[in-house]
Amino acid sequence: MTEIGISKSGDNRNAGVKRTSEFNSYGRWFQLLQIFSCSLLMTSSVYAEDVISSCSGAETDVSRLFLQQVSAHSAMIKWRGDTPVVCFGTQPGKLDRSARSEFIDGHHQVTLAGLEADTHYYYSIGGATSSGPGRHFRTAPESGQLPADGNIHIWLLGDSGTATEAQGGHKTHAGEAVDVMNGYLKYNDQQAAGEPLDLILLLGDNAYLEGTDEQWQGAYFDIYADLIKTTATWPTIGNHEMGGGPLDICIFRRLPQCEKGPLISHFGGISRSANPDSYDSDGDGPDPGGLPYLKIFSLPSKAEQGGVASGTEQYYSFDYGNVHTVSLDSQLSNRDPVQRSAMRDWLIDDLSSNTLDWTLVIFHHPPYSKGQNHDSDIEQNEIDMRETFAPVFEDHGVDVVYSGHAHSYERSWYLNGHYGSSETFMAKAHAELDGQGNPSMGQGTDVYQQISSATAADDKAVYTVAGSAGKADQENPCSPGRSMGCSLPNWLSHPAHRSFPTGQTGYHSHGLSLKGSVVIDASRTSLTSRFISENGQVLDHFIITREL
Amino acid sequence: MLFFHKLAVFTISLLTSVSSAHPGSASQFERINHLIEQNPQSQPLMIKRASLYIQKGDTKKARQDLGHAASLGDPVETAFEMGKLQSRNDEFKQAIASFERYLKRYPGHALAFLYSAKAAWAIGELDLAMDNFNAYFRHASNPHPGEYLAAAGVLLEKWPQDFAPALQLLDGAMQRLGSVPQLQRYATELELKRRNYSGAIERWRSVETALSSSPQWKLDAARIYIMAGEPTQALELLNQVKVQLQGLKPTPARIENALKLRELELVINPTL
Repeated sequence: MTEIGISKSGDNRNAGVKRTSEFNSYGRWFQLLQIFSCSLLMTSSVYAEDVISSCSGAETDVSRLFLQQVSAHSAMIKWRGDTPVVCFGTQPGKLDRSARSEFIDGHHQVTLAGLEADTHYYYSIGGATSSGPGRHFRTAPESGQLPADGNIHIWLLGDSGTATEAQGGHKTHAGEAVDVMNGYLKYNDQQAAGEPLDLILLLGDNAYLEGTDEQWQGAYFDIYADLIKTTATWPTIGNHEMGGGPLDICIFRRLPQCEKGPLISHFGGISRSANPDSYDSDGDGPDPGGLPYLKIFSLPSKAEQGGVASGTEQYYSFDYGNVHTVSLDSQLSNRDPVQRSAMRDWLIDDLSSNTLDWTLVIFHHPPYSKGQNHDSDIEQNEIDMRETFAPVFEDHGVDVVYSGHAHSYERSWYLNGHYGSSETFMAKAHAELDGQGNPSMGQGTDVYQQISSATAADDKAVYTVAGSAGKADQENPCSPGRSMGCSLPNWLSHPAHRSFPTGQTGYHSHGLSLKGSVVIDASRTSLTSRFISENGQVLDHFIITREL
Repeated sequence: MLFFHKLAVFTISLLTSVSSAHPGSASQFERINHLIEQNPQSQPLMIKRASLYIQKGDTKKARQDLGHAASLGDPVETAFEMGKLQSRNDEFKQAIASFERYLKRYPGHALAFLYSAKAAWAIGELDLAMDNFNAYFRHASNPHPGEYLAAAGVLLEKWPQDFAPALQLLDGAMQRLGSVPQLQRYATELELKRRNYSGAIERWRSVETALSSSPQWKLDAARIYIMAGEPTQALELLNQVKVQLQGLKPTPARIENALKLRELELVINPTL
């Protein structure tokens, strides 16, 4: 991340700015060079010369406009386009401060510093003194505090990247991610009084099938454009972010062509490398630019927004008001013992230092799941996340854990100490029980308490799998001898997850095969997590309360 | 390449649901065996299966596949996986030779340098190990903090009485990656081992803010002060921990902190 100085129009007092009263010939030449360079180069820094424009230009069309690292006193804006100038201020028609971007890894990037906490800011790209439509954001409250509305509102999207999933030129899930987004917007409008979003958390697989830059554009930046220019995005690495490898399609479907030999195609999501530099988008070896995810997002490896420095953007943490969020790397670092150990040690440091009211962890591979094609009793990434990290979560006060990967919804009981495979789960030993001795739902009169009355410690967490923000797996019984691309009899039946009444379409004994996304609301005394369907209905929720 | 893509497009057009599947490890062998059955002369497939056998720990089958793969094309293409296999079998000299062969063909392959470094370390070829670690750090665009800790281990083995090179490496890593407390903790322990207590205190103090002056940080700091023969400072920190823990949400880790606190108090004053 690069932070550059800001200036206030007509005011030279801000530090770190070389202010020029007018462009000199060198400045003009350099600006032309910048524009030329931007159009040609998509990697590395192109310019860093300080040339300050006052806010007197015109609003410029840009693509891929999004926010990163919006803290109490700073905010990063990234975009693609020809202009390097941002104007901003607290009144939409009077943008009186300006900043100039650097061009890094194919994006303009600028961090606006010296902002006031929990304050609305408006901005323009190109030098206009008025902000364009939807170009505004609200800074975070001070660490530990709540925003003025008393609530932190978080939207989580797992496996939403299906807009770019295509077969034979046909989009296979066209409009499904948009449906889920509209479901959230409908819920928010009708049931949450238009509560403003504070954070957008991505649970991985947000750009199918290989996580290329182009796929990120089509599956994320184009679809959520209106939301991500007002709210910061915080992602995690999924298997589809990490390119792919060769796959024989005849394994899945016995086509007539299979009689002649394997039908090999490059498929996203099956890389087994621990190294982001080995990212391969098309099957012809590592791409020169490395992992696009790391080029697109600017993540706080140096504790830029609270938490403890991880030294890598592959995993990180940050504070937002009274919520501490950790993003772990279950795809790459988790594969290598040395790296996994380093990530675990960092996590312990991070959680030991955290004193905020709520702690939320995201990563892609779920520790508990009986999703279609993704069984946490079998997949090594899931086993490692459960065995290595779940004990750390429970020892250090993590409240909620969210993953994706399986294209369905599963939400656990309030768990402690279940680190084995699904058949070792015992509700009496591993779950909070209600008054009748059954696992507690965390609803109604049985809401979860952050501090357990039995142990007098915060030692339980709820684990949610929410990988259906772009598609939901459908009932498709496996034929004999087949286990992939179909539903086995134990589909969505992990006993550590809450039970559902069956009988309705999409309802299974311990999960839902329905599209949707998750919304979290965190106040001082409660955290509520809801699963919102594509129709805007709340299909599940739980509440954790804490005493002041 | 063009043929490959045409085939892929043709094939995908026939399918409707394959892309929603993400094979887990259980299906890897099933898939690769089928591929090889259909295409027994493919060197990349044979290498791929060997890689899976290495991951699984079936070194006998991995060696068979790599031997066969070497006969199906340029043997150098098998050298990276062969190096991994040899490392797994403790044949480290052979592994280093394999990685060297592979690096002659692919001189920027960061992982080959990394694996070669670890193989060289395993047989005490410490200079070679460090050369390879340094090459890995040069070529990797995102070197992982954990690998710096591993490289520091090599330097400590090379100079068991001189921690300066390891400390220099860790400081270099922190310059590149930022002040990562994990790296500073390791460096602090080295300062303690060489009885540079003021250096240890200075280093550990440098991450106090980064670790939010947490109870764990204070307990570690108190331990350092005790080792440095400064019990007053240690006691002051322990008293702070006692107060701090009362104001924090109880977690199993913080309950453990309270036990450690008591242990350290007894070290300072066994009559407590």
